[in-house]
Amino acid sequence: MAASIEIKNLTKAYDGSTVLNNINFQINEREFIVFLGPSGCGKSTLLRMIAGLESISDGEIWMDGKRLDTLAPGHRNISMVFQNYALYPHMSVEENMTFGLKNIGTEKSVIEQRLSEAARILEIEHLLKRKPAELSGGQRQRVAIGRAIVREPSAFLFDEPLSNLDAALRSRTRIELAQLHQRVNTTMIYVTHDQVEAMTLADRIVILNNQGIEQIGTPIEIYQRPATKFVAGFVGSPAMNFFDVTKVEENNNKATIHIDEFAPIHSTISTDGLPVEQRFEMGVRAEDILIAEEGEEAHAYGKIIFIERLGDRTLVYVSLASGKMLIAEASSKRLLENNQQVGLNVDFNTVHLFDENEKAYHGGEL
Amino acid sequence: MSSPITLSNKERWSNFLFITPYLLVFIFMIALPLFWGIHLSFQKVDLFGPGKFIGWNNYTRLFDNKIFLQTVWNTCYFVLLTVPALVVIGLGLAMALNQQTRTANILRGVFFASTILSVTVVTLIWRIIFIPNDGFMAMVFQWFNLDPIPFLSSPDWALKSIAIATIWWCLGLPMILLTAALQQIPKDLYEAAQLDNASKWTTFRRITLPSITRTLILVTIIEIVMQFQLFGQALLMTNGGPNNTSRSIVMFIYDAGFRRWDIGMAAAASQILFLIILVAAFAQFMISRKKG
Repeated sequence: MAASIEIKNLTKAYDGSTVLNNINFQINEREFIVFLGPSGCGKSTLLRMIAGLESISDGEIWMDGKRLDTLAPGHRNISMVFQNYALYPHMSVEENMTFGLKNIGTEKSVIEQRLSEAARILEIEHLLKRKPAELSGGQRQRVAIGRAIVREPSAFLFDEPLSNLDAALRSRTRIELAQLHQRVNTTMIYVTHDQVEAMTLADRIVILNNQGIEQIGTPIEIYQRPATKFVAGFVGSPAMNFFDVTKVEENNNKATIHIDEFAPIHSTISTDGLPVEQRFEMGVRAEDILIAEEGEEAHAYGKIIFIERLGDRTLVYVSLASGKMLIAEASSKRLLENNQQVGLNVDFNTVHLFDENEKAYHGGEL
Repeated sequence: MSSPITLSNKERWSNFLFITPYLLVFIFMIALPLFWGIHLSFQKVDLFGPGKFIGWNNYTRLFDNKIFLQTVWNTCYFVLLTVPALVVIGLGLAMALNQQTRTANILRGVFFASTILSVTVVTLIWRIIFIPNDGFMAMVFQWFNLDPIPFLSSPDWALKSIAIATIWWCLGLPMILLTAALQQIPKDLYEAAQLDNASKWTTFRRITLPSITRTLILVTIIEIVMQFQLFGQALLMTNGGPNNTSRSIVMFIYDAGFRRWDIGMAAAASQILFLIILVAAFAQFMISRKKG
């Protein structure tokens, strides 16, 4: 029952202002795709266009080789879980879940069988006679998912479904969604602005920004080899550190990066594809800048101004001599204090270069 | 400092002060007249001397009065003509105009405009429409070569014509109240229904109607209460004629009380009208509660 979906030259404009411009990509069968981006990037609009709830200004959507965008929402064989669940308040849970099946005249025995199956999977059998108002947030969430499941659609759409749950429930439901995907084995498209959800759930992430797609890739690709400076800065917490590069030198076909605050950084980035005569920026994640052991030679030195202890690791905010601030990581076992002078070492394999067009260049292997 | 639950005397008095203005209006303009009216309905009174207690006499006189019984029937019939039409047309308009476009805003204004007109203006407009030979309806009928209907002078049409004018006049309030109710319904419910393949009719019956039940009850009860008090339009358009076919209870009360100075009987008729409205509104409330 799973479907592949193809988006071709999709454009959306409201009253002359473009929200999405010429979007092209393909979603494979049984894939869990996550649309990730800052608010206002058009990720929800894109999802709603696939559902048919939003008109298309230009372009086409295809599903399993059939044109989708000319069909009414109900005929697309797609189920959607809404951000606010959109449960029908005057119907019981059971009626909510079977409403769609009844509307297409499904046989009663089939309806009952699917209802009990979905209720069993989601453990909501005891709630079937209740009204949505009598349910907790998490229970409503389950009913909304149940309503999507009973229709046995070719694709599930989720519009920020966890944003109304508290933190504990959110991480539990996240795991359950991943398990649900394994169980129903159907194409799922999921919109979120939460990168943890995106990283943990997605087979592939589509990063949207500024009317278009910044990058499509697996969570690891997105994290380790961001295609643009935007992706590098958007994904990952804390945000990546950026430095202005003064000079890039070639050394055995690899780039040696000069930065005011650091000793030369012998990166593994190939100089072959690197544009010449451009200003570059270098990016390094906090976990790739380590606090040097005492007495150890380091690439840069600075003063600790703030320490954030997260338990498993410690983030250290360091002010360099130039006044530039960066975030580095230290083992949680290290004893560090504010105002302490420390040395910093950069992992040469994990630095990224960004050119003036914010295109990224990476070294090392994935 | 006083605890949040027990108020100091001073606070209690200042709270009381705030509700005093309305309390005075309520006591002297609503509660007292109501009981004074009940008291009067058991008396034989005119405006010149003290009354005399005569028990249920005014009521038995009323139920022997053929004209009064006819006005009761006329008024009930009028309510049956107007209230369902007002609710249904009001809901239809509210749904048709439930969009944030300029045209819809302007049209809402236009349909609401009639509500703010005085009854005198309304009847004037509709008399011009209904006037035989030169009126608007007469012109329309001539166009289609139909026999003109004597709207205001035919016993069959007089009350219906008043009902038509009243629906036009009173449509604004149901429309606005129902529009407000429709706008409270979350948009994503309709989107979910779209994905659930619900037809327009199913969506209306299963989502729209249940969501606005409270407002529908409110609108119906308001209109029942208002339309039972038919007076101005009937007085000015037909003066109750022809042959009392468009005479309403309130017109009967007015005639009895202020033309024939039979205050006791007028008061008794008022109590009966009060009871009818109370029963009708309560019945409507119970019926819709049962359904909900």
